[in-house]
Amino acid sequence: MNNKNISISSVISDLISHLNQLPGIGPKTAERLAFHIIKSPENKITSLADSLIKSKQKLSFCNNCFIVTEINPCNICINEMRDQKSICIVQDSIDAYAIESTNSYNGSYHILNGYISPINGIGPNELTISSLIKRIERKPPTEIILATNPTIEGDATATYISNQIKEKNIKISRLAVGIPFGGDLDYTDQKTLTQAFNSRQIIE
Amino acid sequence: MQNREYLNFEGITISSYEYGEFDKIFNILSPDKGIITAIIKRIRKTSNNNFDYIDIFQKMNFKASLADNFCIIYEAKSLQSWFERPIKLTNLTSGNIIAELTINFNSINENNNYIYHLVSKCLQWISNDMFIFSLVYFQIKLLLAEGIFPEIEICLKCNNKIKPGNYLLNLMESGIFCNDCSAKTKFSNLKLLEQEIRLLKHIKNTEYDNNLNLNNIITQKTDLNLYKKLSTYIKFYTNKELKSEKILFSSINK
Repeated sequence: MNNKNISISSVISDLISHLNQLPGIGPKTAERLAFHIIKSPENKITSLADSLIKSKQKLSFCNNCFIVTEINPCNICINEMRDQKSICIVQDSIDAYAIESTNSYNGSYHILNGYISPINGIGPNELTISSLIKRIERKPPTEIILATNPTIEGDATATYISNQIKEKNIKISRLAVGIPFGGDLDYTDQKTLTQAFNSRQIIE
Repeated sequence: MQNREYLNFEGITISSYEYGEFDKIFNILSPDKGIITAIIKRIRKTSNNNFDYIDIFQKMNFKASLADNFCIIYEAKSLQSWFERPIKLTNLTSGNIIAELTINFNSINENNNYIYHLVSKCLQWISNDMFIFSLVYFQIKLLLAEGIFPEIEICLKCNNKIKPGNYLLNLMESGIFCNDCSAKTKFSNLKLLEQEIRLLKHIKNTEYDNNLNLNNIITQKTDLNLYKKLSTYIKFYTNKELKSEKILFSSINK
């Protein structure tokens, strides 16, 4: 019998269709997740549903840096132990969390909520760049770290921001691009290797 | 087990979007098959000896397996990369406009080889900051290749040769009417200035090579107004807005 002839419950197809709308979830994965949810104990699913609802009710964007937060301004913006004179600019909150997990940066952040992508209709006005400029004018930092992805669009975003603030006499830096730890030189592509050479550091 | 057909081809990556957790889908313009939609697995997570750095606006050699309506890339080796860092917003946006136009017109296969070399040439000029000229040149050559370039040599109604002057371009009829005939006709139109018509004729009849530079008189004469008029003309035919266009206009105004 052809699978297409099997009529599935509208509740299941509704669940599959909702899961399918999530980023990174294709139709097959959505089906697998849906049937996993159906087979799971009720208390587990209730707790999953609760945390989904809570995340929507309690989380918002920080008015200052636009990171996802429970309190406004966020913990990072109000923490006096952090260097508020340094702003690291990232594309999304998830990038700030990635940097936070390294414990190597103790400054503040500014979340752009995306990157410039003209082909998708996303220009500077669709990002939080104007809020960043106002933030800098209100409280000038000593350093801006541009930590957008090293792609053409990420780089165009970094270049645009740097052009907007270069006259404000602030040190502007960009995250280095190069060979990853544990990587082999002969496995590294030419562009990355060239960039690594150009960004080489003097051993003191 | 399904037999897979393998394909080696040269192509230009014209657009991409993220897919799943680690993958990316690329629209690759090839000289033989037009736009090929291809997935590159795990490209956002790991470096791989089979792949050079891949991003939009790169000419590469690809090895792929063909699936039903897309293909999976197994190898990609760089041949040419146009946009070097730092990347200007106007250049990125112009490249995106060329990508959007190429995708919108990707239906007539006999033009693939010509369009491929046209895209390559225009990306080269954009990387040399000649973005307005590149866009106008691309519009004109694309319209010619698709057979919808407007008639600007003779009047559509009386067939008399058009004398130098300003004229109205009839969108519906795809051409211009002489002053006598246009007075008698009602239509949706665009005003083309004398120097714009001259420029249109010149670019129509000239193939520039890759080495064109900013000091060339034609690149200096070409302005945004002609681009906007041709864009209105193209939109009339495709009925599609270009998302990149409003970002180009706002970035130029700034």
